[in-house]
Parts: sequence; structure tokens; C-alpha cells
Amino acid sequence: MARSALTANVARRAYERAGLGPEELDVIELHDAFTIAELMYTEALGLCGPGEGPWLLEHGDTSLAGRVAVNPSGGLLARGHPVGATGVAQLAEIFWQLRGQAGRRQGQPRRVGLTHTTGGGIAGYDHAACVIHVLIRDQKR
Amino acid sequence: MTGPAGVGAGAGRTMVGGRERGLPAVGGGAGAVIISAAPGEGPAVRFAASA
Repeated sequence: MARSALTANVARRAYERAGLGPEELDVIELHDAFTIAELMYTEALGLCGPGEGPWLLEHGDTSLAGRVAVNPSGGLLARGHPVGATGVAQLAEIFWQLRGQAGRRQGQPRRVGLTHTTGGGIAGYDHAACVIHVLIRDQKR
Repeated sequence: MTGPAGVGAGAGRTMVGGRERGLPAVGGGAGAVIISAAPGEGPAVRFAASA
């Protein structure tokens, strides 16, 4: 599974419902339960084209100072993956990032964030479940 | 975050610090809003979409 059609399909629905596109995302917490996952899902979420995930990483686009910070919390591999609590941790991190309360992980001001979690698949095939939330900082406050 | 965030489920509910306050929800979609336990400390964050 080098491509995730499930994540790509769910992301498309989430973008449609939010009325925005991946180019407007400022910060993402994605489901990097394995080392290859960040590359796979940056592509599936539409941050770059197929096969361009490594380029995105190498050029710092997904760093704290990059155009879209990916997993500023450290992600599942660094922060930990207590399964159900992982989704809550992702939402908390995006909440802090959008409010400018992420401390040394903050980077630059951010307005649009996304959380992505997926799992329940069979090795060699795509996952069975995927949930994506798009969050926006309220400009009126 | 200075306090526990309220994560509201269901359309039109606004949660502050984990308690429903009856404030108007911001935006559409799921209608759930996360606001700091101390309103006025910073911007609110809303769910724009879930899929």
C-alpha cells in the first residue's frame, strides 16, 4: 500500500464540506503510525502530487517554519500512539496551534488545521476506516 | 490551553470549558465549537468539517 485511496477520498469530502483546499492548510496532525506513513499521507491529503512526498519533506515544506507544518507534536511515532487517545491528542495539538499556544512547537501563526486518523486495514491493502477533521481559527475573536 | 477545552458534539451546540453555555455556534458543518475555558484569552477554534 503505497497510496491510500481511502485517505484521499475522505480528504476530498472534508475539503468540500469545509469549502477550502489543501493549499489553505497551515498545520496538520496526520496518522504516522509507521515511518512511511507521513510520505504516503502528505500525498493522499493533496499537499503534493503522487510521489512528491519526499521532495516536500526534503525542502522543509512540512517543518515548523514550512508552508504547512506536519505533526508538530511529534506525531504518533514520537509522541506516542495510545490508540483512542491519539485522536484527542491530535485535536488538542491543532487547537493549541491555531490559538498560538503551542509554545516551542508553534512556528508561525496558523489559521487552518487538519487532523487525520486511519486504521483497521489488512496488510497490503488500504485501511478500513479514516476520519478527518478540518478546524479553523475564528477570526472574530 | 489554560483549561479544559469543551468539545461539543451535535449541531448548534457551543461548549465552553466542557459545559454548554447556550452561546450561538460559530459556522456550519458539525456546529461544534471549541473555546478556551477562559473566554477572551484568545481566538475560538471551530470545526469546519468532519468526514
